Amino acid sequence: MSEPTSDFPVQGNDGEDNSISMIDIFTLPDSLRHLLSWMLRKGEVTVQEVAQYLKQEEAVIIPMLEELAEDGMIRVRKVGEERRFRVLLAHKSNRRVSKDIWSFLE
Amino acid sequence: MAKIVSVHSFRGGTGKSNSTANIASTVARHGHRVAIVDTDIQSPGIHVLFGFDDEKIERSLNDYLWGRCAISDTAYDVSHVLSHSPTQAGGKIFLIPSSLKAGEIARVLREGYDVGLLNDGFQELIETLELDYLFIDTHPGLNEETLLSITISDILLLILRPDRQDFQGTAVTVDVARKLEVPKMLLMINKALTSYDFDAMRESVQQTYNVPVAGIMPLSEEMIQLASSEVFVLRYPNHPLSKVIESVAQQVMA
Repeated sequence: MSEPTSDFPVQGNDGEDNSISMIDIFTLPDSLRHLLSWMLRKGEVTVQEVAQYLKQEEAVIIPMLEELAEDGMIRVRKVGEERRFRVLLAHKSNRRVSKDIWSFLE
Repeated sequence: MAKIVSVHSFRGGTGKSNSTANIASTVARHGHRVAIVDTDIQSPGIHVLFGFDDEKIERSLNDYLWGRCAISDTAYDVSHVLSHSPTQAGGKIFLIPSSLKAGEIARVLREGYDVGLLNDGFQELIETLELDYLFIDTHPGLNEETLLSITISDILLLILRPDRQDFQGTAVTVDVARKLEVPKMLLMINKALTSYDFDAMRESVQQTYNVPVAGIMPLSEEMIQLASSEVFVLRYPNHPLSKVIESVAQQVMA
């Protein structure tokens, strides 16, 4: 698998990790959830594929994808001249269980 | 193009892993390349049906999630289980087990893992193993990982028992799957008492959820006696239960 070469930030401008969780996706407004669910199913998509899926012009799609990348919800990878987008899922960090509780198992 | 089939239930103990192993094996017997990923990392179990114990599992899904190896390195070719029953040419079955080591399970509970990596791993498996079907054996209930499995499914097979708690939980799961726009959903009722009217139950459940019931599995003494030591359809290919599994597999492949 080739390394992502992003020309959009993978994280938000403030340096915080704004990647999105599945719970977040589930609670998004319908239109955004519709797009991100489809992108997850496809794995990686081009501007053209998104435009076809949403039945909108590429000129409308590009700024929308750029904004999602700025927000840290998706990341972009360049393959030649083509930009490919994928959902950037957050690392699951389950902190509800104390480290001490489980340390005896190791 | 490969299909991703998630086998899920809202509650534990529905026979999800057993059903996954049986349906996946049946699909493989039809000449397809099939893999099963045990994503029930907190309580793994499906490996038992393929004759694995923790001694035999050298590399598991956990190793991939911690960055120790590629996911294809954790795939075991278990096609030998198909050798005693008629299998069409090309049929293969791979298993990606989760670790049974207490420390590994504890680490998942303590630290979590990269769910995005899991999604990448599914795609990598499909390409590397040239799969026709990828079955995901999920953890019961709804959480971060099961939401991902549901979202990326081409087919979501929900297993439930004829039990009020299962009925309510399944309703929630069906709503979630609809919201996530899963292309195809099927229900399978498991452990139904033979005294029930199966046709009436099928109609009632289908009407309630507006989802097709792919099969109703009667509670079977032979299945219980097998105690997960083997895959039922491979041991008893002509048993009525195996015919129900065949019908479910046909609907998965349709």
